[in-house]
Amino acid sequence: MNRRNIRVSGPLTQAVLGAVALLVAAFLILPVLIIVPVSFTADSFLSFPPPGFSTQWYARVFSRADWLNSAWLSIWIAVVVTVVSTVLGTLGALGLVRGRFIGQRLLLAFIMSPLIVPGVIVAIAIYFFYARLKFVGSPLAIAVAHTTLAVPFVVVNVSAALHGFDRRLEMAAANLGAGRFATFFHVTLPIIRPGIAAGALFAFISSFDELIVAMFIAGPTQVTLPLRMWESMKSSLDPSIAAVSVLAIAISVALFLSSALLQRRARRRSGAASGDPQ
Amino acid sequence: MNRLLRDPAFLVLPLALFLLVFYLLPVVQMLLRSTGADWSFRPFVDAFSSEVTLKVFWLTARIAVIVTVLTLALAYPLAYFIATTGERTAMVLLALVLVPFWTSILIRSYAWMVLLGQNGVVNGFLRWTGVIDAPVRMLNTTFAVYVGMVHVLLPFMVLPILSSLKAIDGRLVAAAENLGAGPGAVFRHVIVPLSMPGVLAGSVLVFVLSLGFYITPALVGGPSDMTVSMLIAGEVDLYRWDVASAIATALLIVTLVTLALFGRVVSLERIFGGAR
Amino acid sequence: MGAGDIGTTRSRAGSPVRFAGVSKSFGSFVAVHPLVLDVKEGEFMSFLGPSGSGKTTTLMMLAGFEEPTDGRIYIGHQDITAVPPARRNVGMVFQSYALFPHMTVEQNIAFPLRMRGLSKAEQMREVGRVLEIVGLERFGRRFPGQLSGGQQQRVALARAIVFQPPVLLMDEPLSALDKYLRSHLQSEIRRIHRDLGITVVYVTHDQDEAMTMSDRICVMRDGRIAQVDAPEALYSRPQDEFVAGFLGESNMLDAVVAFSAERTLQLEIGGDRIVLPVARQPAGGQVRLSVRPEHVAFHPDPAGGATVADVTYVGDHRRYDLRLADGGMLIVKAQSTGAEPVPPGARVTVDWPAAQIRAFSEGTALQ
Ligand SMILES: Nc1ncnc2c1ncn2[C@@H]1O[C@H](COP(=O)(O)OP(=O)(O)OP(=O)(O)O)[C@@H](O)[C@H]1O
Ligand SMILES: [Mg+2]
Repeated sequence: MNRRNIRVSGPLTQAVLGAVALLVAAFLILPVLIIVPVSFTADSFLSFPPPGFSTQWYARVFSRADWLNSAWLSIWIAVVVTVVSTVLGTLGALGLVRGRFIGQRLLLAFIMSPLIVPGVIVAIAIYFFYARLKFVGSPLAIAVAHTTLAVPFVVVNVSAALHGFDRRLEMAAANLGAGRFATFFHVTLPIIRPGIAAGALFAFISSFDELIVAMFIAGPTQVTLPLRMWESMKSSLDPSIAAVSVLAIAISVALFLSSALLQRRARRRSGAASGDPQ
Repeated sequence: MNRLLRDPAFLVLPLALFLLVFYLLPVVQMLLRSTGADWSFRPFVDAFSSEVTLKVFWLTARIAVIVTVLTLALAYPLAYFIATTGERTAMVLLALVLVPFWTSILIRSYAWMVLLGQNGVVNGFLRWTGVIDAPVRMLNTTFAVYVGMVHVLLPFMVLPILSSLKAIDGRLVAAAENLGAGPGAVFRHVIVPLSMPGVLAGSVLVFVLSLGFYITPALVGGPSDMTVSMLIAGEVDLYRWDVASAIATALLIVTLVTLALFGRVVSLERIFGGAR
Repeated sequence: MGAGDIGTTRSRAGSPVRFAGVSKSFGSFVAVHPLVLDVKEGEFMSFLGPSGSGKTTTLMMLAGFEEPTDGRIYIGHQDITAVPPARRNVGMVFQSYALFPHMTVEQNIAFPLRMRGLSKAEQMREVGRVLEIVGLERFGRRFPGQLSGGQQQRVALARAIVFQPPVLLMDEPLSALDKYLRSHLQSEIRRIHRDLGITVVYVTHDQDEAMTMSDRICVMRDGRIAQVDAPEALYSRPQDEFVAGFLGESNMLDAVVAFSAERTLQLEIGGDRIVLPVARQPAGGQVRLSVRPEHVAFHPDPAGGATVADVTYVGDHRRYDLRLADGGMLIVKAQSTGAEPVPPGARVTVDWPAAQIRAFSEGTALQ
């Protein structure tokens, strides 16, 4: 194996490097963490350090119908998006990885492009399109648009799982009497499931956090959570946004941890797969 | 027919159709809109005869370049340290990169509003230590835009670099050392060249994503820190949809040309492909 | 191991396999030339040949994973050329086992039974039966990742025989194992073959493995059959130079025809004359001879035409490199028990074993 370390520096350089790395990591994580104490401030506006601690802003958020409605709307949209994009994306990845056709690379680039194309461009294009269809303002419209943006995450994760998949397992299944559907459901699907789940998590998060498209096509009564946060951020530095943010971060971190677990499981699974006996 | 069904390629059809209708069609319509009613390209003329548009493109490009350079400077040491340190430390540091990656841009931008505001954490800390006596204006400045964008985009640079560093065969280092190369030489002649694919991939990605940035500059930038995306949104608000389309088309072309030139190196699977 | 009764309870467990002019091309490249081969029921047939000779391709066509470009394949009396793999009912052990990593050993072995709609109880009974055959009774609940290579191999074997297929295919099933495990599993596979009476088509690189296990060996070369024969016949009567050189160690020598008559060929090698009972050849022409090192003998002789160039002690025998009068080299294996070694430099006379020398002209054996 090539796992010999690529470290070249002596202990001193390594220590300096470690200090730099630590600073960069702190720069990454501290701003996210700082919201937590801020959200528990006893003050009526943002201040640091907080004069005292209270849970008033959380109580406030949970008592406000507009925040709760937005949260439910966002969750509802994200669930729809997750289901649709997981199905479409998994099938799509199977077709792209397993099939052979003309224009394959181009189609893949097209499917992946929402990850790269500036959000505003996608947002206004969809907005103009929906405006013509009088589709603007409905949660379904947002869900459809979000699916476009979420599907690449599924495709990329499922493709990765399929690339690591040992096709001989499918040959073995066929040899043992399994038809194409039985092979898929008993062998292929269980083995790529962690990849599908990781893609689904990404899809959920991407919709739950999406702001720009929602900004253009959400109606005045259908305000998603990020949109409501965005609007109150622009008007005030009300600490209730901090409370909402902490809740959203908690969801993200929970999903991140589950995705890390899934990845580990996926790795174990492909490691334990047939082949190289030690 | 049986042949056709045996080739799994047809499985991509539902997705392709979905994206065709709800993504490609809207974008194509927007592109057509930007050409004007009679292919006069009037919206382009309107958009780019304005000095503001040109200036905003220039500002956006400048921000993108500076952010890319800053991100690279911060990401490389972090990635290299993660690649060379013990497994446990590496896992913790990687988690510190990934948690922000999973937190929405909106919330991270908000965090910088909290940090950099007049009564924010940084000002509070500086005043408490006595470095300053009056709060310094940091929020709503170009400085805040750089800080916020670097923060948001850093993981996109760290991950590809880390993955190319991890792919380096450690025996190459041993071989170079054995051939008499000191640490500096090994780093310069072995590590840096072999990690170039990751550096390039990260840089292209960060540059392209910076070009389209909207939320962070809108929240933490000053009145003069306008990006192309903000300009487009502004034109839409003014119901100048044709002009907005023309500017968006121009931005799209810049993005695609950048990708066409350098995009080969970007492996999205490496960055977003969790389950490998 | 309690498996002795299986062969008696199941009569005619194996089916014959027939390749009737089966060929396979990939684009313009012909991987397998029209192949005609009959494997008898219950026979253990090995495919042996150098890398790229078309062994796997042939096996894959039999299993249904490659479609023949031409020709038909029969199992029993049924033409299975167009039957999909799932309905061919042939067991297969893959080179790297291809065990389902997400299923336990039991679930892996029960899989073909499940696909055939057997009840849970029947599944468990059959799984228990084959686990006993392969000696893994206590490992049913483990996952493949928790087994050693040899154990995984046995699970793969159990899974391939549990549905009692009439034909069992194995593609280099032991190549990933160490030498000790390999020979252990070889005898186990042979025992199972004997007990089940199943027809086995076995692909291997390893000629010793092919020799010890097979009823017949099909030697392949460049997509063609070079020779099909029982191991002994193959070893002692190779049909062509390739087979002679490929199987076991062989001295290949050039000889000149000195005199020829009906079934008498007098040849000159290295100053010696030998007579072989084979067909007439033009006098003065060249033939090639192959002779196994263990079939040649020699004795010290100050007037001998050959010299000992080197002696190596190899445990049960000594290996002599002799230089013949014409400069050609000859390898001889001699029993090392008792006798003193003949030292390098000594002059010797070679005792040519006419009965064991094969003569070839333009690659093919003279009869
Ligand atoms: N799918 C394919 N496309 C093109 N050529 C192929 C394909 N499969 C096999 N071949 C070629 O056919 C020839 C026979 O291959 P095959 O795998 O049957 O050899 P083999 O005897 O099993 O060799 P080995 O001992 O190395 O396993 C080889 O030259 C190989 O390159
Ligand atoms: Mg092979």
